[in-house]
Amino acid sequence: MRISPTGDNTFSKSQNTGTQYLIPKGLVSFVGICPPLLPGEEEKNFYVLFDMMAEEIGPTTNVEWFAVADVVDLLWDIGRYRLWKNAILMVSRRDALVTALTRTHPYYNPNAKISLADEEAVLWRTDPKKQVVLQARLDEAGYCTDALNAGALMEAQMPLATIDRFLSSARGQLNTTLKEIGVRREFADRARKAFDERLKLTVEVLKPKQIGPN
Amino acid sequence: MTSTRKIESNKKNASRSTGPRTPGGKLRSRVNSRRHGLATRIEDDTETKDSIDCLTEILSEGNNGIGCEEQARVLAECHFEKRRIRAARFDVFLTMADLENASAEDFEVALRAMSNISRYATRAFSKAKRAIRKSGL
Repeated sequence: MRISPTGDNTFSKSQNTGTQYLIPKGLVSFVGICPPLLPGEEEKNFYVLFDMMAEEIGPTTNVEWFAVADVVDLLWDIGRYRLWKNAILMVSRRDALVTALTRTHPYYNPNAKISLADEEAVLWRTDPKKQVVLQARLDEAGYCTDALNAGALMEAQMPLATIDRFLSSARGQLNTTLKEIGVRREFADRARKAFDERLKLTVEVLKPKQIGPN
Repeated sequence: MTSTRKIESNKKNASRSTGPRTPGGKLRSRVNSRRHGLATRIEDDTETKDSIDCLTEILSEGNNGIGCEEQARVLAECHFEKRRIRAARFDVFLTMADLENASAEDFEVALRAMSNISRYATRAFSKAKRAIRKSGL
């Protein structure tokens, strides 16, 4: 546990992780509060992240504490956007499969409003025997796994680009704040370094998955 | 060009409409065109005003504070503005909570909503930046 330099104007806080740091007393109700969580997210993970960043950056002034809170919030949102990216790829893969199944259907009619491909796509996912038959049909028409993945990527291009824009905007917003603080302090360097390290770690953990047929 | 007959017809139809009558109806119709509420000024929000005052006081007091009360207030407002933006973002994330069953159209709608929100975030961060610069921290 770190000792407060002033001794009286600080508050020791520990959130589930065992680590302790000092948030200025008045800021306790404003900084380091877990946001509303989505299904599957855990409060504990937020505090782990906050503790880690606070420990690493070591903010000393009120404004620096707010910057740390911003960094953590941005990282939290970046994690959510990354889940979206994975989901978009999956959805696009599913749509590309339906398109391929529609076009290779024996009774394919471009003007028909009803298609059996949706049903076949479900069978593809649930029935391994049917999947072999459908795959043979797709292979015959030249729709190999790589072609389907390429089609999926093409379809996902726009939404993925939009998310990349959000991610880059998050980074830009962080820099905007740190630049001003960094004019007089090395705090910004520490914060930027910690942010990048954390981002690198997350990327390593969430390696992009190869899209499989299922 | 709208015809005279059409204008007359519009006037006649409009005169029949009296709008919401009950207090509940008036309350509901007040937010008919509200989307995310980020365009309204945070300082006009009565619920947040006290918190802004409190944070302004904290930021401007002591050696650790930023000294200038005016800029402290701007920073406090930005803090709550960001919190409001985060809540709006969360609402969008929540609509996509079931990612496995989401469709491409769902993502399109959600991404558009996020784009609308993100410009307010950029604005809030820039405002905070200017306040930090002016305060001479």
